[in-house]
Amino acid sequence: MDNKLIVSLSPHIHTADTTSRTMWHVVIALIPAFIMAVVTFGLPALWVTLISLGTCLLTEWVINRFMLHRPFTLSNGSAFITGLLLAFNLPSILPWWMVIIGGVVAIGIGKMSFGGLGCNIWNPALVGRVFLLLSFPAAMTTWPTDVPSAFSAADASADAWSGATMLHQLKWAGHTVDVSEVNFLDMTIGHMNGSLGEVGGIAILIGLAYLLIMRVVTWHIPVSMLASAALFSWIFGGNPLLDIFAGGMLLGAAFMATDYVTSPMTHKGQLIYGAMIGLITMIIRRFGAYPEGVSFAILLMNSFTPLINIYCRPSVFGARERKAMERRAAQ
Amino acid sequence: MKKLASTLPNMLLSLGAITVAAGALLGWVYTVTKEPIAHQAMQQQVEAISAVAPPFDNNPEADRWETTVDGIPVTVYPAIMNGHLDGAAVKAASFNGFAGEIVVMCGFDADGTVREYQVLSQAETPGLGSKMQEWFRDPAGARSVIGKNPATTSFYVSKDTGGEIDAITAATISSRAFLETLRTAFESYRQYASTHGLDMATASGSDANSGASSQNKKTQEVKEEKVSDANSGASQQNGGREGKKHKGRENKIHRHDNR
Amino acid sequence: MEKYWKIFYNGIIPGNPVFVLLLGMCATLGTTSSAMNGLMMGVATAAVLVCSNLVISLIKSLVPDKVRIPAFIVVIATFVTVLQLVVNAWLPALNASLGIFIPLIVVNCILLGRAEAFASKNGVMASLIDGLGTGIGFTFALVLLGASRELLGTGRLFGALIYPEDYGMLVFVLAPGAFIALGYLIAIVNKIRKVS
Repeated sequence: MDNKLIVSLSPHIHTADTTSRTMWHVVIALIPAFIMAVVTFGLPALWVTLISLGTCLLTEWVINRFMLHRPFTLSNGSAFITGLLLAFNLPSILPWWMVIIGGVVAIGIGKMSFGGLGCNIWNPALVGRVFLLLSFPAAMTTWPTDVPSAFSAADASADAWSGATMLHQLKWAGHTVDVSEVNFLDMTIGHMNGSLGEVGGIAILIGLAYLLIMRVVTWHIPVSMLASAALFSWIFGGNPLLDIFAGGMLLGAAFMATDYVTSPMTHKGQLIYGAMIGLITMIIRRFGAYPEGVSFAILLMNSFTPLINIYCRPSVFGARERKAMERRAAQ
Repeated sequence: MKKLASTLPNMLLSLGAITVAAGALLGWVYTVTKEPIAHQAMQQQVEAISAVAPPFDNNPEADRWETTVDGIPVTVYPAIMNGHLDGAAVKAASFNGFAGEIVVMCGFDADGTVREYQVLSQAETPGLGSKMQEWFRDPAGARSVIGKNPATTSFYVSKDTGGEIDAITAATISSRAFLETLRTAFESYRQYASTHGLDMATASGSDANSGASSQNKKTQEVKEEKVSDANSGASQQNGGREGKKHKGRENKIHRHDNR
Repeated sequence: MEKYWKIFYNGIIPGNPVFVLLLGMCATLGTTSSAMNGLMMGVATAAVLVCSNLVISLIKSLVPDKVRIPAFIVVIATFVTVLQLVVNAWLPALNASLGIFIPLIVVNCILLGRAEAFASKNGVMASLIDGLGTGIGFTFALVLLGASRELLGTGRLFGALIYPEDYGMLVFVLAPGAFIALGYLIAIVNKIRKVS
């Protein structure tokens, strides 16, 4: 017999999943949303995406090769995803050099400064996005003027409000949420204004379904986040459906909050995490200074992930059975 | 280096001596700097007034008139030349800025046209609301308030119904607060002019003027009533809408960016 | 003489209060939105530091151990108040840009830190030189951070326009950018110290 004794640590049985496999599934899940973005915004959406991708990939390669002297990591797809997700958080008409800055910051500050994949605390794409938002507030809140915002009321498309998203209008114009004024069909299909990934609607949900089917993500974070957001939207006097489809809520729930590195490990932790994101987003949207709060909520909860991981530890294999046995013995 | 033992009398004496010496030093420095400090404060005030008001030969600080509009303290510094009221510098504030209080010194001509303004204090976002010092004098588009009269021009942002001033891009709240400050200033100036305009007359020249100026004031007031009705209609509309949706969030801190 | 040079140099690089000791962070982050502000704050703090080190070193044998902290703080607070009165009277420009950070010099840990670690244990001349060195090191750090933030955030350096302001990344004028800039500066300084 030719059996070798292999000495190694557990686990000894592996599935076919690798980091890159998972990452590329996410890329595939993003394709419907990407198509929607290009359909709604045209060629500029493609440019922003390409520039973002290129910058993120290049930044990671340069830092790995020349500063950290580590092996080539681009093929694991994580920089590719960061590039895509960053692009999805930007307006399609953002100047190209701002996109580049965003990419460099997302990978350089958001990911590599902490040690690379798996070591970062915050979602790199969101770090890049919020950096850009604070650095260029006017440019980051200007959207194409020829895309309507899904309010079908007459003054919504007036000159003063062109180039605004729905949430933007709700916050600044004192617009009452009259359900009849909102074109829900437009909103769900994605015929509205916003950043590249905000106009996905159903397309993002299709992507989420794909991820669930391929078991890349579990239902815990998206469902808890959306349910919590809907609940608090209703409590704070808004329209839950509107709040779910408007802004970056769907994109955040499906792709940004579910990032492995920055979200809790256990299902219990994930439920808490998702619920808190929903709550914080609604608080920011209703009472806070910004019209949209998803990115801030996710970044805030990213900070809490280590804490959540301490309190929601995975149980040791066999621990539950032992507890049950002890309980039976005590009876 | 021998240190004193930490006995109670030692500690008391030591701390006592140090504090007495400190007190003496501070007292001396205080007396030396008292006058220069008062002078500086006065200087700043005078500079702020001269920068915006029409030429005057009175002492606006001494002739100042303080009032309250909607709970906001406003000070009118009249600019009097040769005995008649040529205009005023009005210091008004608004608490509805993005980051809180905005204080503006606005200079008006005799008829209420804005001559010049200085933002005395603001804590708005750099690059956005903080641009208010330069933005509202920029002749491009409908940004500038210089040379416009709140009685005839609607000093609301163009996004609000009837508004005629362009807001700072992506800084609507700051812009609204700024214009609110100017409206408050104008309102106070109007009050001042109608209660004092005739009182400040000292020479006969001003009697003749006062006859004319009271007529002007009457037409001005009539015009203002018409326009302010329109304005209050607009603000009620906005207030109504905002009230419905936002339930009195007016005084909360707002930001201008999305997400 | 050699000894004095060492003490002086210690405050500038090896024991730089901002990049190495990480003291006085509040003042550092709050006043460095421009290089000029950083310079003025650094000079103001250095002035107080020199005076307080000098006086504390003079009275060190008269202060019982148990009351040394309150005694030092009274000395520091006195000098800061003198500074504030002087600034209010003759330097309105400093007043306008530094505002509330002048009285906050009292709680800047650098002052109490140097008093406790050095001035209360060393001679008058040495304490004076230490105060000078640390003050200059602090000013240098503040100017460096302020210049980086101003250049990256507004395109200016000491007020002079280097590149168009519209290309400036405003985040560096705000608090988050201050932390980011400081973090990377500390990293760079650490790298230089390791290599040299």
